Amino acid sequence: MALLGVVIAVLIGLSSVLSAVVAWRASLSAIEAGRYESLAVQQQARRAQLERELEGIVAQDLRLATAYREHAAAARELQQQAHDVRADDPELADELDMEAAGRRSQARSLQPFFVGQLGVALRDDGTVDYDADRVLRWLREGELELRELRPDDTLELANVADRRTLGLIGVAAIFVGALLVLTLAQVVERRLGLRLAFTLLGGVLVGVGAVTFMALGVLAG
Amino acid sequence: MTARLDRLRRMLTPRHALPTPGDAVEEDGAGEQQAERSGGAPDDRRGDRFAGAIAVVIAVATLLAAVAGLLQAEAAELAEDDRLAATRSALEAAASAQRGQQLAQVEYQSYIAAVEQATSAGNAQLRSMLADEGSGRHRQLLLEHERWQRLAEVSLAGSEIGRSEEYGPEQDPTFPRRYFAAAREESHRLNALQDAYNERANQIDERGAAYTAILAVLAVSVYLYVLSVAVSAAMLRRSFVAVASLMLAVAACWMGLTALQTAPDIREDAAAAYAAGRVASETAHDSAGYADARRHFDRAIELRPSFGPAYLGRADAIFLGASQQRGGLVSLVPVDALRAARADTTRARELGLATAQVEGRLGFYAFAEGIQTGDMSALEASLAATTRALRLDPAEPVYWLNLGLVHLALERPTDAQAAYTDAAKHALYVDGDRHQPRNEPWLEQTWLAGALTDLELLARHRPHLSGLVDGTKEWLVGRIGAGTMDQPEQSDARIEDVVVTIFPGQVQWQAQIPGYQPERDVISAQWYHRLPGAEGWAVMPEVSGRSGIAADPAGGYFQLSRYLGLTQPAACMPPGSYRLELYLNGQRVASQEVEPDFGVLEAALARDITMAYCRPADWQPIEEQVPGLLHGFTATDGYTGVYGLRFDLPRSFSEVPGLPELMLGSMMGSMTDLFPAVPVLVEEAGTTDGYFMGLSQTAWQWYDYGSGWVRAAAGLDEDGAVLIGIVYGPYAWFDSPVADAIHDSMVRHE
Repeated sequence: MALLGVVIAVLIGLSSVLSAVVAWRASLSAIEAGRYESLAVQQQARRAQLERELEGIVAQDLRLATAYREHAAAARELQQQAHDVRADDPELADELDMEAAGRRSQARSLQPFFVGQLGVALRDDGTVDYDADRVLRWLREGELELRELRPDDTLELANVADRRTLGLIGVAAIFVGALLVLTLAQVVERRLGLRLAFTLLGGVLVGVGAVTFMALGVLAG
Repeated sequence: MTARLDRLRRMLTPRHALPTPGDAVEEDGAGEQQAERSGGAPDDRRGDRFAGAIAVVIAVATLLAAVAGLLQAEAAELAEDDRLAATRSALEAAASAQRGQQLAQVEYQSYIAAVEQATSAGNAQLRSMLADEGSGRHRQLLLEHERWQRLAEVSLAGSEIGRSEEYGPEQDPTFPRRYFAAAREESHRLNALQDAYNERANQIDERGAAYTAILAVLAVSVYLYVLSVAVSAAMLRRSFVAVASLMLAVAACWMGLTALQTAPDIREDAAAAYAAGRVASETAHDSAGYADARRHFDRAIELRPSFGPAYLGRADAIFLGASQQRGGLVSLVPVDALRAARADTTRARELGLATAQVEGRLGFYAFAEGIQTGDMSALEASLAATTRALRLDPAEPVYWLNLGLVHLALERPTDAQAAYTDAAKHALYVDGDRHQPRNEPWLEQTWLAGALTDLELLARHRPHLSGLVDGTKEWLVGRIGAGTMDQPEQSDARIEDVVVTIFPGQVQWQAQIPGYQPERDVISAQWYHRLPGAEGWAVMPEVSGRSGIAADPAGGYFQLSRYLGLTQPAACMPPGSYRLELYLNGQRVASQEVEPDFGVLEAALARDITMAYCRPADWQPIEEQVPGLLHGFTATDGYTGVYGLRFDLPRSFSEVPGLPELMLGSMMGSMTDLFPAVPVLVEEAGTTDGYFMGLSQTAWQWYDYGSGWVRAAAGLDEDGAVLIGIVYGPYAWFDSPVADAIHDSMVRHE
């Protein structure tokens, strides 16, 4: 009987301490979940910031490309007209040549201002060889920070921490249950059979709680 | 005797042993006798005193728990506030970056408009020169020129980007990088504040977690106290009380220590210093620029010693500032700088920045330090960090190349080969997927150049690995350099009589290649550069590669690769030694070193006149520049200088024989105020027709202005324009190689 009393006392002490530790771990896990959730929002904002900056560069280039195309295409048209009239009206052709040269020079003056791509050219079909998707891909690849910002992954970490918190709360409940049963074992001093049963149940609950706690720790780690 | 035996039995019986029924009677009898002697019920009184003491202690514990609960609630609220502030800063940073970029783009657009208008003015001026002087058309064009000129001035005045302003193209060789970087300063500051709020929230969270633990300990303590009252066995009671008291004491001390901890202040000045450092770092292009960035990061760290991103920024500034490489991936850095950069990056990692970038950099810094100092532990650390980087970002070819390199340094060729195979796969295919070829030869060559430079570094410090290094270089050039993972084809072609020429703006090799079949053979040229007095060779990705090999009309083949205008900021070929390695289908078949003597020259890009050239660093841009027509630089005294001109002419003019020569003569006769005195053609030198920028109908002439020479060249462009390049200076100056170097540097540049 004396030994049983000691066992009950040890189990009560063990489950008390373990329940305190589990409650603390659950609190840490809940804090971690909150931290990841906040971080995910911040990462999303940072990601959006970097994306908008890169898209802004491309948009700026595209505005320039439109102006460039106008000059370059006009130069081409003027040159063609000059060619067409040269035989009949050489003076007009010369005038058109000079206008074409002027528009070419206007187009050239825009070249240094492209930021995402080093210069552009007018294709035969009248479009500018500025592939916005490709430039954006280059810019994204060059922005290493962007590749590492994964708000979805961070949110998943928050979910994992949330699930762990719930698990730890469950483990704490097991320890509280064990405490209750062991307290009853302590109270029913004179009914040996019941006392033994409560002690056994309390011991099992402490064991299950401890194993579950360790398993959660391994999964988290 | 019986009484003695009873006493002895009581002494031997453990005090906690349950009494037998007879014992109980005796005990009870003894108790009664004792109670009678003391005039009351002593056990009841003792029990009451014990229960009273426990009640007091429970009250104290409950009070402590209430305080802990209050402090925990406060900590949770403070942490939540800081997290909200961090999130708000992140959102504001995003908004600020967008706003800053949009405003900068408006200014940029105004500046571009001014340039377009100035170009229109130049066009009108040029056309007026072709119109009959005094005619209505001539006057109309002059008025048009003036009108555009005025508009350009108004537009320029309305933009905060002036040509010579701090962020203007004359002050910023990387224009418009600095201007746009400066527009992001506020968002960097807000991101720094976000980091500070997060750090403080984490610290407060730790306090909150401590209070939670304290509460749990107190709860258990209270429970054990209550239990101690409920149990009757004295030993158990004492054990519970002892444990409960210990827990109570621990909880009280822990709470006191936790409550004494203070959260750090949010340092606005540290955030501002960090933002200035980021801008300085993003716009740095020389040692002075990186030193400036480092000063800002030093300040940020001084103000906030736990500022992880500032350590990382400083590490970058130290690493890049200590290297003289200004192109491609930087590898050649002195050991001292590597140590400092590694220490800062390690600190950043300790402070929570365990990203792939950080791990990748740590891996390379440790390799470069280990290989130069012979420290094997640094190489092992490099391997570990690079492996961690790849775990975080397995698609980055640079990390795979670094992994192969470290394995080679650790003399594990099989592991090295596996890593290099992965590197080639990720370099040539997006995400290493063979169905998605990258098709970015320039980017692939940049990675290859970085890998070859690192291998060169390894061979220099581990000469006994030269064979392995050479084999790896051939393997890499045969894959990444050829743009395929397939085994290079066998070839009977040979490369002979290689002639290497370094111009200030471009490099060229010429060779005889009997048996060369372009559809079968891949020739890859890898150009190495070594600064004067330096030991390490670095591959120049801008001029290296396999494209542009052409048949030489004089026989054989050549590859002329431009450097000028392909770097950011624009640069001319740096001084030092050059080495060419020619690879034929992945086999190194030729290698040659040369050392040009043109010294240090700086780049001048004049896209408006489709020219680029090199000039001495201390020369200044001329005030008479006319967009689309005239561009130039002169020494501050005006006695030496270079001009580039472009005359757009009607196509019918192209039929005029010797048009470039005529235009050159006309220009030299009409624009005499560009020179210290009126230049006169040196008839006896005649007009020659040497190579000039790849133009046709070239004409070279000498002029004499009394105290110096003018060397002028002209040629006809394929669009009918005449391009003219002029260098002038005192007679003695022409004895130096600089005048020829400037002319040699002139290239077409659109």
